[in-house]
Amino acid sequence: MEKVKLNIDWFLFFSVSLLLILSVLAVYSSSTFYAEYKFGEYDIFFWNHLRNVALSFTLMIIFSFFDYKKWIKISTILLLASLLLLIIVLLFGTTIKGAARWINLGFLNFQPSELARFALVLYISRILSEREQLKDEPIFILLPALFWVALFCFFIAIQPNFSTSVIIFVISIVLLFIGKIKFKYLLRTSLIFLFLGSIFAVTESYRINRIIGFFSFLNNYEAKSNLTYQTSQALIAIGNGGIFGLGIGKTQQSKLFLPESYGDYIFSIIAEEYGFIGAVFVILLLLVVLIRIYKIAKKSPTSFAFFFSTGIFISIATFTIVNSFVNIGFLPSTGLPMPFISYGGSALIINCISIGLLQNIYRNIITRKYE
Amino acid sequence: MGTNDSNRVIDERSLNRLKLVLFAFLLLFCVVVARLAYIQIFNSAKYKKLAELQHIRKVELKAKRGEIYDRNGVLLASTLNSRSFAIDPLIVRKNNESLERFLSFTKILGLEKQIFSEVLSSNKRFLWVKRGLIDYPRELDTFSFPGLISLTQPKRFYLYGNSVSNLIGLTNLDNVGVAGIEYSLDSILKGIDGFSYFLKDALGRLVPDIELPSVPPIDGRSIRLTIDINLQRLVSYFLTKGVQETAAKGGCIIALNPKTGEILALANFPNFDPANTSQLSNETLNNYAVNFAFEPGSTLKPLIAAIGLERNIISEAQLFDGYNGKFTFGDVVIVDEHPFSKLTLKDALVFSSNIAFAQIAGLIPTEILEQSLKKLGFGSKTGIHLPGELKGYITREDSLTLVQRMFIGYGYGIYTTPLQVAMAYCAIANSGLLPKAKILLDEVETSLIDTIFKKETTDILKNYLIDVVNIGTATGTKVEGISIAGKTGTSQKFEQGKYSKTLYTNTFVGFLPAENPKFLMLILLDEPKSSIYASSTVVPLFRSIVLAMTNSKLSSYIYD
Repeated sequence: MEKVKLNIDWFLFFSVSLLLILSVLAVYSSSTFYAEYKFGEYDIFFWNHLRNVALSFTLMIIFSFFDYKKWIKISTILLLASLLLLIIVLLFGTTIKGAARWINLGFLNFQPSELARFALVLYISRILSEREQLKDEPIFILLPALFWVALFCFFIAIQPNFSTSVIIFVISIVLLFIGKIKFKYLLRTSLIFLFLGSIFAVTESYRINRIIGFFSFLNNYEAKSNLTYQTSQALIAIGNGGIFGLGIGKTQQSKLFLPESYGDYIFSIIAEEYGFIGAVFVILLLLVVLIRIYKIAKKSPTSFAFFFSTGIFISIATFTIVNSFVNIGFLPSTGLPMPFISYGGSALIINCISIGLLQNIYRNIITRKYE
Repeated sequence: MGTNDSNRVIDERSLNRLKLVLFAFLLLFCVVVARLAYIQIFNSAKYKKLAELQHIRKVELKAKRGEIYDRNGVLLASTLNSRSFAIDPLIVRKNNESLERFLSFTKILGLEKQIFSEVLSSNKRFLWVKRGLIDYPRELDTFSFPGLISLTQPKRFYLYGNSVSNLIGLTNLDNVGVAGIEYSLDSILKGIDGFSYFLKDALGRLVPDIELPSVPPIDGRSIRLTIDINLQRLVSYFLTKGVQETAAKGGCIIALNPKTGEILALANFPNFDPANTSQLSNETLNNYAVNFAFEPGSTLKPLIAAIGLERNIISEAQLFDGYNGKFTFGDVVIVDEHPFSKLTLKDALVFSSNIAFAQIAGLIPTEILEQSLKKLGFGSKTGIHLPGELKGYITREDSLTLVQRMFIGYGYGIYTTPLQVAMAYCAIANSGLLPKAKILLDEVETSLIDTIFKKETTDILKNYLIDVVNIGTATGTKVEGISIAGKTGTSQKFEQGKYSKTLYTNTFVGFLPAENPKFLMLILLDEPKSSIYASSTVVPLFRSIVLAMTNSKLSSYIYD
């Protein structure tokens, strides 16, 4: 039978590519004013981002040729490497805004927590797919998984990066849930984490203040404290966009009104410039990406491929929801990026590599069909 | 579990759980879209308003205030950009460096320490430190620290100070006219402010945007007054001298052209220094010419005579009973300084007989007297562009009684402004023609000139008034080579229900050259103390001014 030359999920490919293009435009719009103000170079963020996008896009293509099964073998190495990097970042990391989250690689401020998330998904997928060897005893899967989750969450939390720690925990639990781990175990684990997390939250005043500030904001939208400032400004950006938006490049909120307008709040700037139509378009593109990943998961040739695809699905979906909830004022500022859109290389590179791997799985599905 | 069959690779339960998770996420996506719709479609107006509040700044483009010139184009009032400084105490307090800089700032400006402590305690966000600086140390131009607000503001300045202050008036710190011409013609002078909208970033920096509306300002119109500033200064100088020498409370001088009604000079005392407005009172802002109503006394007599002659109620040859200086009518006693047994109209005027004029006014029918006085402008505003002009009144009742008419005959019971008197005299000086009072040179107005008297009537009166100066009560104003006609008035002020024995107003109205007058001047002194008689206060003052004029190029206002 004649072989299909290029076995690519074109829907997935084009959705991601379109998101990357939109990301470049949005980062340009939202960062130039700040960049000019802060560094005197209006395009400094733009070129940085464009380079990261190009790199990510290339890696996405390269990794689609990289047999996903090989990842099973290096999952432990990646896990250990992540742990090492998490420790290094605590000792020697670049501190930005009071948190040591980055390792300066010269061309990139690398965020080990992103690698850790990827490694964890890889590892949990592996042990879930190896459950026969583990005699199907959930405790043999749960305990090692939880060991690593707890370890990573702890190291990330003390950076401090509480929200990333929480989101990695959530992604892991949902993945374990799909891996048929008994619900009661997951519930108990979550309660323990919740308890530990609460203790952690109240030890730092900024965290608890942010949460209290946010809930008082929900009750009274007119409240204007520094804690709710970002949320108010995001809502003004979104609301001012209206249905059709102010037009490309017409953002006003990025002129220092809305902090992190190219990062956490880039979605608000998209909503400001492209309106309801543009914002929904971005949401739909991300939905297309997620549904394609879901389809790949469903047709996965191996159990590992299924769990891995599912893990990526959960990651991207959770990040999207959390970030858009921050933008629309349903959650306080977290520092978590919008997948494929926000400025910041680490998440972008990891997400694109993930998509590359999923394309490889897709290739396996297609080839199997013709075998 | 085999790896060959894709359908058996994935456990059904896992797939179901994935579907559940997918469903949950789909639901959350719907929430996001619904929320976006809520914000962007249904509540967009509210956020657009909030956005506008912080993104768009309306900047007023101030219209330039019109300038004020005299009749010869000499600049009297203009506008300069001045520097004003304000403070945001909250910001200054927060910042140690700002506090230090502010302290040295107040030192440079030479301010008291009190302002510094005020700033430290104030909870306001905006506090003026110093406004309207034109001369200030240049280093302040570049002086800045967080919390200092530096503004360029227009500031009015006046080139002729006290001499013309009550006429021109002044503007307040916001450049709005609050007194004099500045107030009455504010609408012409101020122009129409324009505005422009700017985009604003979070630091408050403004960027113009062509899509935002902008309306350029329309500058105020400049105006030319009818006054000659040189004459004004001359007159003002003599007024001040006169007031000081007689220890009067105040006074004014009105000089005008009786043919056109153009006011050539209008000086006041007390006046004020427009550059130093810290201690202004209503009194110093007052303009006697229009804001002061008084009983004109004898200065009204020539007008009463003219009314009587015009209506043939009296004649030149008629003899009036002088009652030897004391006339009793009911419980009213009228006395004359110069007693006569019989006297002609000329005698009555030259020696200012109250007794004769009480009789003359008594002869004039009520209706004629009232109408004639009204036609002369009494009891109504002249309509000159000066604020707060008083009307005065002929009578407060329905009509004049005989006694009231007799009082009016020698200028009592009727209240007039100095300008009304000066204008009424124009009718005599100008052979019966009465122009309208005019302060704006280029005023497009129907220069209504009313005919009040026949020339024969005014010719008779002019001759009598020349005699007043030559042989009568105003000999003190005689100037060699010019015929001056005029009439004095010394009236008791009505204070606390009776006529005062010590408080008088002295007036003299004169015009020259008497045959064909080009120049008419009224001098009023309010409550002179050194002498109470017009003949020794305002009369010599008139002479001094005329002499000074004839010896200068100002003589052109007297001769052709």
